[in-house]
Amino acid sequence: MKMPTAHRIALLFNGNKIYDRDIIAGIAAYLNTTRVSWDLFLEEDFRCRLSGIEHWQGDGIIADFDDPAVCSALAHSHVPVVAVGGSYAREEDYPAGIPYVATDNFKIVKLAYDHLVEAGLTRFACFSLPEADVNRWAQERETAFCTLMQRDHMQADVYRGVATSAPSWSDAVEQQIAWLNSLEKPVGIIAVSDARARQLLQACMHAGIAVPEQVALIGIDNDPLARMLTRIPLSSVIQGAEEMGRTAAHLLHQMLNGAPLAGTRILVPPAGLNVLASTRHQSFQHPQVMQARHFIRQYACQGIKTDQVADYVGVSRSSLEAYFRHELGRSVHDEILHFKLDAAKTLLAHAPGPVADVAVRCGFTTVQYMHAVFKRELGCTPREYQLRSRQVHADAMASPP
Amino acid sequence: MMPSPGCHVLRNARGMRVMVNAVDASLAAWWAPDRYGRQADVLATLAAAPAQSASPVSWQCEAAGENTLALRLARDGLCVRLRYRLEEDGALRIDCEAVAIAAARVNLAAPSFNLYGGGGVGDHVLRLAADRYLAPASASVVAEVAAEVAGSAFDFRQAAPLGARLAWPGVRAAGVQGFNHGFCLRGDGLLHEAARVADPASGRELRFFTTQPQLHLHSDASRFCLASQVLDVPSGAPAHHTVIYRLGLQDIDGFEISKKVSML
Repeated sequence: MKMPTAHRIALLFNGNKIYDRDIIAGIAAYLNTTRVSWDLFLEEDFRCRLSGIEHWQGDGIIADFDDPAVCSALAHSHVPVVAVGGSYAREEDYPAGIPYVATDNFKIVKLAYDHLVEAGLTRFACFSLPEADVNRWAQERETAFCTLMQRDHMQADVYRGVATSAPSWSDAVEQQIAWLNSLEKPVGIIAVSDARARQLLQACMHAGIAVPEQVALIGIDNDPLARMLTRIPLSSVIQGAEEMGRTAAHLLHQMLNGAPLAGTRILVPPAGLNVLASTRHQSFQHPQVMQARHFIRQYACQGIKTDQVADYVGVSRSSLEAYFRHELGRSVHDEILHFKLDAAKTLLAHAPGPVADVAVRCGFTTVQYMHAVFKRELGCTPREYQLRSRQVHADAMASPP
Repeated sequence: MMPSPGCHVLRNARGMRVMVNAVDASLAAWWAPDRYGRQADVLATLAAAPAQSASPVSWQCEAAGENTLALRLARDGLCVRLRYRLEEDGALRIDCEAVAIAAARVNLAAPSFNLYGGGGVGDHVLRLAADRYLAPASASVVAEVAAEVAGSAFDFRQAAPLGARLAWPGVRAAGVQGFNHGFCLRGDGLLHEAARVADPASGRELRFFTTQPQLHLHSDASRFCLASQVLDVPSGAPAHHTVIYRLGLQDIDGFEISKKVSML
C-alpha cells in the first residue's frame, strides 16, 4: 500500500477575527477526524504572503474571499482553491469557476429580524458600515434587511455611519446618537456585526437611550470579546463558521482526489441565536400565563370565569392560580377584572351612553358590582369617571395646539 | 385542544401536551413552547413512515393518567406493552416490552418532527453520536454495509445543518432527496443519548435517547424522523427497549459548537 503523501495546503485567513478563527477550527476538526494529513501554511497576516502566491509550490489553498485582494491574487491559481466568504444576492458577485462555501447572509439577517419581531418590536433599522471593498458582506446584510422590509411593507432605515478612526471617534459617536434620536421608539436594530453593535450600544449609553426598552439591539458573530466589552449583554446571531471550515476542507479534500468541483457552492445557515439582555424587550412570560392572558384579553368582557381560562390553557385551576401569583403577583380573577375595568374606562371616556350599558358590554354581572369595583380601584363612581374624562377631553379640544 | 376519539392527551405542568393515538399507538400531536413561550405542534407525519403490518391492528388502553398511558396489543402469539410517560422536563419516555411464543419482530411507527412547527427543516442542526452509518439498501446493494462517517456528509459527531450537508458533493448525485440512513451508535444496551436536533429559529431542541445500538434517520424537506431499529423478540423471553424524545430549548450558554459531543 502506498503511503499517503502529505499535501501542502495554505490557509489564507485573518486569524484576528473570531469568524475566521472558527473557520480554521472547522478545518482542523475535519483533519482530526479523517486521518487526512495536510501540512498547513498559515500566516498571522496572510496579506504578506499574497504577492507571490501564484509561484507558491503547494497543493491547495483555502482562502477568505471577503477580501477582493485575495480574489484577484487567486483568480488564476494553478493549484486547487476553495473560497470561503459571505453569500451574495447577485449571482455575478461570486468568483467564477471556484468552489465557494458561504455564510448565508440572508438567513443570518432573517433570523435576527424574526427574533426582533418575536420580542415585540414593530419598527426596525439596520446599522451598517460605509461601503468598502473589504466589507461587501455588510452591504449584503443591508440588502437582506431591505428585502425583508420591502416584503413586509415597511420602510427600511439603514445607517452606515462613518468608518471609525481615533481622531474622528467622537464625531462618529455624535452622528450615531443623532441617528438614534431620529428614530421613532421603540425600535429594533440589527447591526451588521457584533463590533458595530457594540459601538451603537455605547452611543445609546452616552445618549441615555434605554436598551432594550427603547432600542432593542442584535449583532452578528456571537463574539465573546464584544460581549465582554459591553455593560448590557449583547444578543447575537451565531454563524455556522465551523461547519463552513469543515465543508471547505471536505471540498478541497475531494479536489485533491481529482473531483471537479468548480461550480460547487454551499450556503451554510446560521447555527443559532444567543438571546441576551439587549433584545429582551418583553420579558418572556411563563407559557401558560401568556396563553391565559391572550384568552382573557379577548374574552374578559364576555363574562368568563377562572375555570374557563384554566380549561382553555389545559391546566388545573390551582396550577394556573399558582403561575399567576408567581409571575404577576395577582389572581386570575384579578386579571380578568383588570381587563374588564380597562374596557369600561375606555368606553366611558369615549361614549356618552348610560353606565348600565357599559356594565353589560364589559361583562360585569350587575351595575352595582361595576360601581363597587370603580370605587375600590379608582376611588370614583363610573358616572364620575365618565364626566371627568369628558371634561379632560373638552379641555384638550379647547386649548390651542 | 379537543382530543379526537381514541386519542389520549398527556400533560405536564409546564404546558406541554402530547396527544397519543391509542388505537394505533402513534403520536398525533405534540404541543411545546418555543423560546418565546409560543406553543406549536412539532409533529409532522412522514408519508414513508415505516408500517410493517399489513392488517390494521388495534391497541387496547390498559391505564391512562394525567401524564401516563399504557397500551397493550396481543395477537398471533405476540404480546406488546407500551408505557408512555411525559416528564416535567419535557421528556416523553416510551417503554416497550414484548413477549412472543415464536420469534417475532416489533416495528413501531416513529414520530416525525418539524421543530419550528412548519416550513423546512433544512436549517435544523443535527448532532449524532455515530461513528459509522449504513447507506440505504438499493437494487444493486443487497446487504447494507456500515461505512465510517469520517470525511463524509454523514459525520454529525459535531453539529451540522441537514440541508447544507445534503448539498455536499456526491450526496445528492446518488439520488438522495433527504436522509434515509441507518447509524451505528456506541450503544451497550443501556439508555443513552444518541442524537440532538435544534432549530435556531424557534430555539426548540429535541434530544433522542435509546437503548438500541442503531437508529434510523429519515428526512425530507419539511420533517425528520429519528427511529429505533426493529425490536427482535426471541421465543419465550421478554424483550425490552426504551426510547426518550425530550423536547426543550437550546441552551446557548452551554451550546459549544466546537465542543465534541460525548453523549454516552
